[in-house]
This record gives sequence, structure tokens and C-alpha cells, in this order.
Amino acid sequence: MSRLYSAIVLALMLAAFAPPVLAQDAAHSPEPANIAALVQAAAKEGTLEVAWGDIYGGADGVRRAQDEINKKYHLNLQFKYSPVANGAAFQNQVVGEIRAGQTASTDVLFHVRDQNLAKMVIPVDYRKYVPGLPADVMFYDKRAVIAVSTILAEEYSTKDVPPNKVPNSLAGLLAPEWKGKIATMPYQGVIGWYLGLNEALGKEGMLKFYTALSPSIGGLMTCGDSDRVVSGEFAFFGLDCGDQEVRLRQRKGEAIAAFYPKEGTAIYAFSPGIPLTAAHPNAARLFITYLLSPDGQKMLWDEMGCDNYKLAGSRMAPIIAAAKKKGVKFIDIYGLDLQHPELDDYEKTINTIVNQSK
Amino acid sequence: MARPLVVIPALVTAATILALLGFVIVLSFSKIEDGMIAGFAGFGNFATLLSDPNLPRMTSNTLVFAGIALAVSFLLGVPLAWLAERSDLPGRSVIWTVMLASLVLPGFLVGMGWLLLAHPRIGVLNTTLENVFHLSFPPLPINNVAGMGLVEGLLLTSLTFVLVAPSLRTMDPALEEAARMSGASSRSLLWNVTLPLILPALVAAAMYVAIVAVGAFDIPAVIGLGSRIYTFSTFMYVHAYPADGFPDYGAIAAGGAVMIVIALAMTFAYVYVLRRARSFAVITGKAYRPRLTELGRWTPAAWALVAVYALGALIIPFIFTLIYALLPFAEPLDASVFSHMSLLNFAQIPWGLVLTGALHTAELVLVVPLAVVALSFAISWIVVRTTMPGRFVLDGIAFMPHAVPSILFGIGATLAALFLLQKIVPIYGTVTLIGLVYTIGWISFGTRIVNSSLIQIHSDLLEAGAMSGARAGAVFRDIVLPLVRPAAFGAWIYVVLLCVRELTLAAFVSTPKNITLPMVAWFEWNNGSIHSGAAVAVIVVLALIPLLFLFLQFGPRSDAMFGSSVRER
Repeated sequence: MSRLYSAIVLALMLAAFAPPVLAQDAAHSPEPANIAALVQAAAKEGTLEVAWGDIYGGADGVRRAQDEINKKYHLNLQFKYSPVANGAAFQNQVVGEIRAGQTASTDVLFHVRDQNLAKMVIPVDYRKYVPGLPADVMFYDKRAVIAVSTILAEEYSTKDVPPNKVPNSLAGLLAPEWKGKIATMPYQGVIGWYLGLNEALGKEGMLKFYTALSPSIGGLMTCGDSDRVVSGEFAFFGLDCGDQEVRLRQRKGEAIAAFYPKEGTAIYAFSPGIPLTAAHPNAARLFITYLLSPDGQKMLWDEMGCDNYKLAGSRMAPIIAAAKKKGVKFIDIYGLDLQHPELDDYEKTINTIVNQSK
Repeated sequence: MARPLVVIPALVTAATILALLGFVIVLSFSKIEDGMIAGFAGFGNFATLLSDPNLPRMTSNTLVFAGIALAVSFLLGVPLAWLAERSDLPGRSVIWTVMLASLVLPGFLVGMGWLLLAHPRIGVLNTTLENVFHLSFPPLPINNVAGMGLVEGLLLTSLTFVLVAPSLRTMDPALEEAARMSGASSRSLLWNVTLPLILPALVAAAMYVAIVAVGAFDIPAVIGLGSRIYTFSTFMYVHAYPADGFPDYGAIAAGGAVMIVIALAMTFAYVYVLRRARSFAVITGKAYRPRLTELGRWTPAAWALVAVYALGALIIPFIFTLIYALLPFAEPLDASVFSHMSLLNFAQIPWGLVLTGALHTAELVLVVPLAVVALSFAISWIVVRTTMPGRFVLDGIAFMPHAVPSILFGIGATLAALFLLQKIVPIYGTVTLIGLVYTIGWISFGTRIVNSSLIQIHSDLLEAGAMSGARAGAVFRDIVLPLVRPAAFGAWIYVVLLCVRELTLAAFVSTPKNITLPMVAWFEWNNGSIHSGAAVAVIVVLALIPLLFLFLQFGPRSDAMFGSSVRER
């Protein structure tokens, strides 16, 4: 018994203490010339490791992507998915890993949200792999590509907010009756900075809004945590990371809806990229290629509740068009940090305001 | 004389502890740019820390939180310890069972359970009270500093219990007998003799529990973080994992450096109190049997206290977590929920990840407890059985992981792995790193136990062995090992349980590649999958149950294990 135990301990010690894979240099891994070469290169890597929250369908989306990619290309790739507690913070942790020369904890950064993060990922020309891909879905010198479009909205519980009391503006949230019943996320600045644009509230208006909102905030939650709205813990959540969460829950009959603020509603995007030190850059390229394909877009619509409105056959495009007809003022904000460096400061300012300790 | 086989591991362990803390201090004076060390910063990081708008509130929150937790744990733990050790309560051994069971229940599960019970808007306790008494406000909201302190206090009650109970058990009854003979009433005896006798032990236990409370992560994270209530650990966590930029390592290290200084001061105070405790001669070594106090009509009240504790710390949190694990979606908890319950969440949890977390946890379970016991033995042997110069310094260093909030070791190890060791020993993101941090974090616990066990072995035994011609190895194998085995096994199994439930340290060293089972539950919970997180938490508890039985069978119930930390410093 003790020998068996010793053998098990020794084996596990060896496994646990085995040196980890040293950082790959994805930055210098050659970009396969076409989809056939990409498939071959991905097959050699054999594995894809990704980590994010419920974006891209979370665990279900990754599993479906694995199955469909393997079926389509006759591969046997293993996709390993890990959830993370806070996607935005996790990406910053990965940046630390990249800068320290460590293998990144994920082969795909789920969202290259600005030019700073774009410096941490490799450029990929996805037009080599996705026929007919519009050039305007690639950003930051092809380091990021829009996989899905989202509409930033204010979620609310249809049980706790009667139809006649549903606000249609951000200002409406400041009504005393909602005090303490509004949730936002700790990284609201990542989303809300667009309100500082002149097309929305402008800098002063944005600061005024968040300063007035802060005392009404009852708690912080992350995107995807809308259970807490459905349960009645909060009446509102927003601005959210996109109304796709509401769409998914409405499909299941849950008591939740969203409104588009009249001050200006942002069309946002989630744009994956491949870290400079990704262990499996070609599997990552193939995964992102899949997301941009009709099959991938269908998977995203089913599992995530949105797709890229700029791609042919998009189900989001008619939704946006219908809302525009109703007078919603949309602002397409992805990539605006290139023209508006001040937005970085807005982001930090908003985060400081909403994270003010109780 | 200490042999290299003992000295080298002991010194390496001590050096690692000092290196991790030293690195935090060095980093606190380093300039950090874009997440990388870029020169000397002087006191810049401390200035940044002081300018953080959340610092004053965080500080007051931490003090209030720790104070309430300490008060609750003592108000429950000390009377329960007295009932278990010094009263004639029928079936009082159940108290030990309840305490040890709650000692191993994961803190995050207790937090989840209480949040679901007493949340101001969705907690069944508040909604029920509001409906029954037609209130327009939640009467018992949990998501505030006092509520967090209450829940943390419930969690720490078992720790207070195991720290205080042995002192009550081993008190010399002669003093109490003398007081009785002099006509003292039971109340007078309690206030004038018993309590003063164990006061130093109580003070020492209070300092110990306070340190744990200050660095606690589970409850502040599960209950406080979502309500913008930061304590020391969550404040550090937010800085370590910011959403809007690179981790603020400089400010984290500055906060850590301040805590190290405070912790060192507390350590000296702790040692001072324990040394004073010896002068009270609480333990005589004579054979004795303390007289038990008759409870009489207070027996029902005593059992009520036990029941309240068991309900609050064990049963209710687990039941509510289980309910959420069985519900498919969020809904008010009324009678209709039972018709909606299913095992769907268990089917839908990311089993691949759970298995990965379980495998990593299993690796830790097999390696860390063994390492803790072995290294503790090496250190304790030098401290107790040799005359090596500086052995008391070694003992002090081994105690530091208890005095310094454990998250600092997590932060120190993460930063060292990321910045210093990446080219030499790339252990960032590996189970090895977690194992290292766990081992360091729990080494002081191990040394306290082994210290007391070794002290009890009279040197005559070893000398007799040597005189009989036995070599050192044979003396160790045939005399020392059998005598320390019970305490070592108790320590081993307790560290096994810690490995399975630990979240505080794991939160600071985990990445998706070295995720542990409790971290899976935390990630799921914090990522919006409350029901899935609850399901994983239930799985963690199920994994703990067989270990708990082992723990109850072979574990402590003796001061060889827990009493040591109070008595033998």
C-alpha cells in the first residue's frame, strides 16, 4: 500500500513538476498561405487552449466549434476551454504573461479592444482563409477581426420594471425609484467611454451621468451574469456588453428585456486576436477563421445571440436596421480609440467612479 | 547535531519564505511600467497606494470586518469550547464533530449559502420577513460589512474553538478546586479563576484569528465584491487583476510591504503573549482530570447554542447552495421551486474543466501535505532537538506565513515566477507554483504541530536508543517516527483538506492552466453561472466528505494537533 502510494506520489510529482512548455514565438510563426495549409498546420499543433467568460457561446460554443471544425476538415483537434472570472482582467493578466515572455494562458485573446492590446497579438490576413471577407472587419493592421457585433443596451427585469416605467434614456435610470436597484460592471469604462463622444453625451455629459449614477448603483456584476437581473436582485444592468445575453434569455422565456438609450446607442464588436506567445497559433487561426465562416456565424447566433452585421447573411443586420427605422441613434464605436486617444482616460475615469467603495 | 538531510530542506524553506516576502518589499520600491519592472521608484508606489480613493474605506471596512468576525468567532467559539471540555453536557463530543466538519467546509460555499439566504432582495430570509411583517425594507441584509463579518465569524468559530479548547482541557484543576473550597460560586469561579487562567491563550488565539480575518478572501469576494465593499484581500485582488490596464504590481507590493511590517509587529506581540502564557502554569504535566461543571437547567440552552452554530455554519449554507445547484434558473425561493429542481446543472457544468481542476487538486493533495509535514519535521527537529545557532530565528521565519496574510505569499510567488524566474525555472501558470505557495503558506501550521510533538519525546528515549547501539537512522525510524506519527498524520490529513478547499491563495496564483477545483467553482460563480458555480461547490463538498471521515477518525481531537499552536510557542 505504501509502495503504491509512493509510486503514485512520485508519478504525480513528476507530472506536476515537469517543466512547462516554454513560450512559443507565435509572432514569427509563418502565416499559412491558404486554408489547406492552415488546416495542415493546425493539425500538427493538435490542440487549442482558450479561456474567456460566456463570450462566443462559452463552453458550448467552443465544443460546437471543435466538432464542426473537426468534421469539416477531417481533423481531431482538441479544444480546451476554461472559464475566467473577469474577462477584461484576465486579458490584462495575459498581457503580463506576453510581456514576461511566458506562454500565454490562452491561444486566443477573445477581444482586442484597443490599439494597446493590438500590440500584443499577431497580424493575420483572414481574407486568405475566408473568401469574400470584407476588409472593414479587420482592424489594427489586421491584428483584430470582428467576429460579432453587439448592441450596448440597458438590461432590465420585466418583473420588476413595469412596461409603463421602462426608461428610454440613460437619464431615466437616475429616477429615485431605481436607486440601489441598478447594477453595472466593475469595468464599465471599457463600455461606457463612448458616451464621452460628441455624438453621444460629450465628455462633461458623460462625467455628469456616471457621477449621478454612482450612488444609485446597488452592486457590480460581470457581463453574462444577468441571472441576477432575472432573479430580481437588480432591476437594471448596464450598460451591458451587448444585448445578446437578453436575446438568449428571452429565447428561454426568462423575464428580461433591454432598451437602447436615446442619448446614443453603441454598436460594439468582439474581435479576437492571437497572442504573440500563443502556444498554438495555427489552431487559433483556424478557430477564428471558423468564427468568420457561415457555420461559425450560425454557431455564434445560436450560442451567443449575435453575429457580425457586416457579413453576408447576418441576423443582426435586420435588427439594427429595424431599430434605426424606429429612430435609435447608433454609433459604430469599435476602433475609435485610434482617432480619439482621450477615450482611454474616459475609461479609467468611469471605472474609478463606479468602483467607488461603499 | 543536525544533519544535512535535515538542515538543507529547512534552510531552503526558510530562504524561500524570506525571498518571497523580500521580493514583495523590493517590488514595492520598484518602478513598474506596462506591467514590467523598469527601475527604482522610491516611495512612489506608496504614494500611489495612498492616493487610491478606495484606501480609507477599504481600511475601515477591513478593521470592522475583522473585528466583527473576531467577536462572533469568540462569542460562539469560546462558550462552545467550554461546553465541549469543561461541562457535563450529554453527548458533547458531537461539538467536536460539528467543529471539525465546519473547519473543512469551503468558505466560499458558506458565503454563497448566506448570500442566497440573506440577500436584501432575493434572500429567502429577507423576502419572507418582508412578507410576513409587511416591511418595506430587508430587515437582515447580508451584503454589508457587518454581514460579511458575521459570516466570516461563523467560519472562524471552528478555528477559535480548536485554539481554545485544548487550553481548557489541560488546565490544572487545583486552582479551581482551591477556589471551590474557598466557597466560590460557579460564576465567580468562571470569571475569577478560569477566564484569567486562559486569558493569555485567548489573547493569542484572538491575534491569530484576527490575522486570518484580515487576509480572508472567500467571504469578501463572494459577498462583498459585487456590492463594492472592499477589504484588504479584495482590494489587492482588484489591483492584481484590473479591468482597465496592466496589473498595478507596484501598489500591490506597497500594500503588501505595509502588511508585512504590521504582521511582524503582531508576530512579536503574539510570541510575547505566548511566553507570558507559560508563566501562568496552565499545564502541569501531572495526571489530572478537570472537574466538569454541571449545566443543570442550562442544558437545553447549551444545545440550542450548538444547534444555532451548526445551522449557521454548516447546514443552512450547504442546503441553500444545494438548492441553487438544483434549480435551472433564478427564481424566488417558494414552495414551487421543488417542482423545478433537477440535476441539469450538474450535467451542464464544464466537466472537462472540473476534471482538470480535480486532477490538479489531486496532485496538490498528494504532494503538498507530504511536503508540509516533511519540511515541518526538518525545521522542528532543528528548533527542538538541536543546539544549532539561530534555530529560534528559523522558528520565527517558519511562523511568518501565519503572521503575514497568506495572499502576500501568493502575490510574491506570482510576481517572482513572472519577473524573476521565467528564464530560469519557468513555473508561472503551473501546478508546481500553487504547490510551492500552499507548502509555504501552511508550513507554520505544520511546524507548530511537529514542534509540540517533538517536545513531548523525552531525550532519554533517544539516548537509550543510541546507548543500545542503534544508529541515528534506526533511532529515528524506531523511536521518533512512531511517536510523532499521530500528530504528523493529523497534520497531513488537515493539509489534505486545506488543499481541497483553499481559495484565498489559489485566487492569486491560478491561471486557466493550473486551475484547481475550488477555483472552478469561483470562476463559474463570478462569471455569472451562479447555478453552475453552486453545482461545482457541491461537488467540492462531496469530494471532501470521505476526507472528512478520515479526518474525524484519525485527526485531531487532541492537543497534539491543534493545541500546539497555543501552548508551545
